[in-house]
Amino acid sequence: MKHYAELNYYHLLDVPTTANSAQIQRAYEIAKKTFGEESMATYSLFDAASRKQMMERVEEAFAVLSDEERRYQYDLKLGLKVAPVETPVVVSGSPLDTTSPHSTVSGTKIPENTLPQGQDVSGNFLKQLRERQGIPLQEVATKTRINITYLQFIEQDHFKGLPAEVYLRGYLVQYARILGLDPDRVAEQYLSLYHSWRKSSKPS
Amino acid sequence: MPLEARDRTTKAEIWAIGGGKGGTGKTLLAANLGIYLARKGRQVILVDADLGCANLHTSLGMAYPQATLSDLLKGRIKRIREAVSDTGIRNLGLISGAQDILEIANPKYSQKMRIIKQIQELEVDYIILDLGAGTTFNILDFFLIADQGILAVLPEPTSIENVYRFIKSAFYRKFKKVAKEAPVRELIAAAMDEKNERGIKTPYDLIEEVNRMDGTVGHELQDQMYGFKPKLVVNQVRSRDDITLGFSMRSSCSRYFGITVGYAGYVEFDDAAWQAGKKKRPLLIEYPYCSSARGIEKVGENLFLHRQLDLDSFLEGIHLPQAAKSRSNVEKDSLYR
Repeated sequence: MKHYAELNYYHLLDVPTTANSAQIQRAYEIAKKTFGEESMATYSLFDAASRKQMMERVEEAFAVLSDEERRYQYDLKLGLKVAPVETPVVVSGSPLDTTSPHSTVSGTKIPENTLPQGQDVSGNFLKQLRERQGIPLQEVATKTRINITYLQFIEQDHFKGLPAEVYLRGYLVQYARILGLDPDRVAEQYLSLYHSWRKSSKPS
Repeated sequence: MPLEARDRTTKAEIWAIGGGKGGTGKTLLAANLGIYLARKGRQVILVDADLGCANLHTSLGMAYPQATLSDLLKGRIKRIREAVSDTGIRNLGLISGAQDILEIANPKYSQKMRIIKQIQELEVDYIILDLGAGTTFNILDFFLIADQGILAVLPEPTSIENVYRFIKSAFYRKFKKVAKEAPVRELIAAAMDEKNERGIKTPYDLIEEVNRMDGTVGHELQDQMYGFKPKLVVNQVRSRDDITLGFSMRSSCSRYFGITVGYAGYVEFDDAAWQAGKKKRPLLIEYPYCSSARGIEKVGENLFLHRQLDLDSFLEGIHLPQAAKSRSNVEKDSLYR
């Protein structure tokens, strides 16, 4: 039961992170039917104490996700959203970025499902975000059908072990979608690290 | 063989219908899904794999078959194709398990594997196995050869409980077949004992435990197990809650067991089904416009297209039992994923 109780609210209600309020309401209705006392679907799976615990979590999930402000705060906690910044942000801070000139971008409210400015999308970033959302890597592997070893290599920035770029791009896009991130941005930024590695590891 | 020869480049797609409990509509589904596919011009063979309790020939209103699986087991016929009987329905053949002999209900392992191999080699478009009730190794092994394993469930606690038991048993049986290392096989044996000391309650727990032992093995096993995706059909639906049961069970299997289960559809409770059964006439032929016949066709369409019901569309009110007869194509398409 342990993993069940640790699911984040979106997974608990079985809705995507981009679900609108109508979808969340519908998912909540089904979850109540699934875990409620009268439920036939879970009668043989949970004892009374576990069922009560699950229902409390379902109510909690709905209370948060159906309230715009509380949901926003929860999304910040999961890393799905970033708090707006008012100060200028330097875009190119990465030591690996040797091509683009220094520039500044004045802060604006960052739309959901995009990445924080100035943040490199490394494997470690993806891993941290995944862990904050409470998603086991196995689940990503199962949903995307990507070999879990490749996902591990992506998270470890183990570029040497990664497949050809044409496949890697597809993997990154799928992985990003699971995390609720902008898939094209993730692929672009991760691949720029990958290209830098390839350039630096070619024999001179 | 009653089915005309055709040039083929692909093997048959195998559907198996189980569910753990008697009386859930497996034979009804098997016979009528067969008719549904046959009407689409596909060549179909129904196999009555309910060894010792064969009923398919009766539900199709057929005379006692000439040759059956018993004859194959006894060596009276050499090839399974000789056991294919003409159902009188175009494109549809039947391999019956009738003419019960003691041995048919309890075949030796080698006999069973021979039957399975010959089934897999039948040159048709679809093979539908009616598995009968229970979770014996025979039933599980037939279920696991299917491309689409289908579970018929009634909206009743006993049936639901049995379906969960079936899913767990089939999963562990498959897991055991793909796991080669002795320590992993011991783990599986422990998991199959509900009171095991390792605290393994679900297939999810088992995979976690295997991962703890050896990360690589766990990942490889998980890759192999990915293909285990049974499909649910809720039979004898009387209310909206009965329909949503399918979604609840899907969610429970995913969250609790860690197993992906699809919801292929539902069939309304319908007196016409009982009446057709009494007359020994197939439902889709005897009462083709009744709600249960329509429901079975809908399930057939979902299985044929490898799709399942979508929760949001259903709860938006499109998918209601009384709307079954008048749904437009647009509504139909939006229901599914």
